[in-house]
Amino acid sequence: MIKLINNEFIKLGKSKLIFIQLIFILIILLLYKLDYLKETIYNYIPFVEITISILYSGIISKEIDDGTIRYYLTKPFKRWKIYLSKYITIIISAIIILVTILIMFIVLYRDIDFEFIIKYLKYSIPLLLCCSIILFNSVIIKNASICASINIFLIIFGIVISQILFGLNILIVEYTFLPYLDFSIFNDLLTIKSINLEFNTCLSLYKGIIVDILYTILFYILGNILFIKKDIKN
Amino acid sequence: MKKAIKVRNLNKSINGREILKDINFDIYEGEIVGLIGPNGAGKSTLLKIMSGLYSIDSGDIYYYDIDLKKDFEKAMSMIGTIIESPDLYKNLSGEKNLEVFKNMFKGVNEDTIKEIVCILEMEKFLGKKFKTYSLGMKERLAIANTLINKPKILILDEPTNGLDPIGIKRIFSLLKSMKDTTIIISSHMLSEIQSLCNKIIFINDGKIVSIKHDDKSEKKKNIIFEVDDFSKARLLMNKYCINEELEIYETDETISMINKELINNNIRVYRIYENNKTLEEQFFDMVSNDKVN
Repeated sequence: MIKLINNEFIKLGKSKLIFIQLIFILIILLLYKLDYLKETIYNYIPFVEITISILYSGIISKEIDDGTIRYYLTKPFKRWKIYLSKYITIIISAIIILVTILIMFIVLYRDIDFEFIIKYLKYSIPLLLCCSIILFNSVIIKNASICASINIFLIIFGIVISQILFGLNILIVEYTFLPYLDFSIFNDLLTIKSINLEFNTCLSLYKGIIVDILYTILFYILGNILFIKKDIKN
Repeated sequence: MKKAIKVRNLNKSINGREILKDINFDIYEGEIVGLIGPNGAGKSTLLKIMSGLYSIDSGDIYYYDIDLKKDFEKAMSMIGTIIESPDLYKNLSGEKNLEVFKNMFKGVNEDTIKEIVCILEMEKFLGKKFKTYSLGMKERLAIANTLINKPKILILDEPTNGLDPIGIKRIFSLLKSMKDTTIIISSHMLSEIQSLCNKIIFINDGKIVSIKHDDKSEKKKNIIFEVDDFSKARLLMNKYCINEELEIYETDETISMINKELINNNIRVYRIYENNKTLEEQFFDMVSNDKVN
């Protein structure tokens, strides 16, 4: 498994990940200079999700399109192991960026406490779901660009689409992953309270955590099954 | 002789269309087998199933008695494959590509890789990115990746597609030199297949039409008896036959013995002749549904 994960990083190119970390560091430093930072750490998480979507939307689809998957799948590894290695790779990449952001905050604001870190970790849970959806989409959608676009659209507009559907009285959306791809909204208690009052919903951080974990598992299992059964024509 | 590959009752449908129908064959250790047939016959589908790229609808495949479905990893650890075009990782160098695939096997050391690189004369371009390679260079890297684990079995689907005559000769020379490896190769280069392979599987419309031995030994002959009752003759001749067709690989004395045996068992023999047909002629015979015997 470690070798498979190492292979994924060889294919990605470790310099890309380092480059992305540097970009985040620069942005954080700039915002620090503009004195617009401390309470906004949670706003970085959707950007991490978007970055990971761009980096990894073609993790399977591009390999199928390029034909390289033929050489990979004819090696002595069961497909579920290859799928898992790809998921772990995406998670590790996301964690590396998240940790970079956290370290920057600790360095710049030395009064960061344990509660802050725990809250940061809780708000990062949608990343697990995002990674699961990225991998699932990469199995079912041939074009990596379309994959990335769908992922990014869901991350940015998930809560907006949810509110529209709540307005149309489709309250079942509350139990889907759509409102829970970005937890930064829960940092603004007034906004959440007003949504819940207006649409008679019960959106909450803890509900979001449970929903995200369940959908993470669901998308992972579905994607895994489809990948295992897929006939590789290219 | 050990059976390296056993295929039993293999069936495969794609989008509701039957692509492979009841495929059965054995390949013995060290044999080089050519798989030939017209476009759409099912050759690529068969090789993709054998390589693990397609699932099996029904049937079994064994590599040295290891079931591909039940023990995929163990079975595939013995296999090297090239399926169609040599598509490797474009933005990686040849060296990095080899590293990626080396990581997927246990016990592959640097000396093995150096040896393969030397044999394939790849030293000059190994450090360059794959996307800068010519087709011949890409093919060589694909072969290097295939040989990295010293496979017991090679599965090759059109490995010479698009190559110039030098590239084709290089590949076939390399395959000829691999004495202990069992090879199944699909190609439209019939003359090369005829010189390389000692067994030919003809496939058409998803079914195996015939399996022929092509023994290169000058002492043996490929003699065909045209008889009136093929099934009866075949049962009688089981001790002489090597494959499904009533083709005999024996000396002149045996030919007269066989002739006598057939006649004594009330089987009429219309014609006895040596099969000097080229593979290409046999191919066209098969496609136009004329049987060889």
